[in-house]
Amino acid sequence: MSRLRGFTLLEVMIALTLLSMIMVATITALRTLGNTKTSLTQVTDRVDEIRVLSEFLRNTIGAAMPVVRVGSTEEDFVDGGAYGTYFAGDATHVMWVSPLVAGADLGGAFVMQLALVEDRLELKWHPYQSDVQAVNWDELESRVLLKSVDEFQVGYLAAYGTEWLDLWAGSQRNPVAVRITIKSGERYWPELVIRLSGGELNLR
Amino acid sequence: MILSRSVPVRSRGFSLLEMVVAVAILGMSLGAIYQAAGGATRTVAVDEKMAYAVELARSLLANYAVVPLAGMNETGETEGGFTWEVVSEPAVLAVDSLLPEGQLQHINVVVGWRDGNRDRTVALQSVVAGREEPQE
Repeated sequence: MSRLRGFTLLEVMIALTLLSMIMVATITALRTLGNTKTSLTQVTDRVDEIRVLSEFLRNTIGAAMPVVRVGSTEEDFVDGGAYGTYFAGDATHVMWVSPLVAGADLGGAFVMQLALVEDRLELKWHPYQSDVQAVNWDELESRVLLKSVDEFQVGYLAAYGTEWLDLWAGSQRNPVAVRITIKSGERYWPELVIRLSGGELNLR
Repeated sequence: MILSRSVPVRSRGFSLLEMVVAVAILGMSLGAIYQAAGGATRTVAVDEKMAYAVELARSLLANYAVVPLAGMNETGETEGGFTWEVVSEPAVLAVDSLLPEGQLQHINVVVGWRDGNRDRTVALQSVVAGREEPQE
């Protein structure tokens, strides 16, 4: 009869305690695994954002074309004359013309403007039509490239071996390089230095 | 007694040893899954740093696209825990080359960072133009 006596209370309690501990450990492990996926996605999204944005800016600003822009006033251009390249900008705005293929459009040269609006980095673009037709930026829809930007600063280099400038008023030359500093939240953004491929107006 | 006799030997349940082995196997497989997930996290963390380092190296290469004729050697540190080094030296030209000495420069950009207890680096090599220093 002694083989059939069942478990004592002590045995049941120990068994239950062991079981519950194993269950807790298992569930915690599973939850951590679930969170891992979320945090992995977060990190990859963050890296992708930096990669994609850096690549886009490198490609488009790097390909800025020295096409003519005729200014509304002569003061528009530093080296005299009423015209210069389309490239112009200050510490928080930059405007340039470069080839762009986007969506179903045929591509071609576009006038682009990158600017900090409140805490958003926004891009506007418009087909480049002629040197005299000014773009009415207020009418254009913008595309947000990056949200919650704390700091956005653009620097311009006139020639290698000189100092970075905060302002690139209209000129007959494009800068040789553009530097973009972005700070957004806690994350680290590598400073972006873009070398421009061309050049100078050749109208003289 | 009648009851215990009627229970066939085959359905007597698991022995303690069998249970211990089963739980051990379960634990080991859970541990393996856990480690795999940890490995993925670490790889992604390294990948993130690597992406920043490559961006930084490309920026440095753009920043030093024209260097002094005599070559250069600069180092620095950025926030985010990256250190960088840019070294350029005049390329050895063919004897009958028409280019002045130093006009072509081999440049080596190295970006390093600390990852746990390992040092990692990304290096980019290129050839850039040399420039004469402006006359004072």
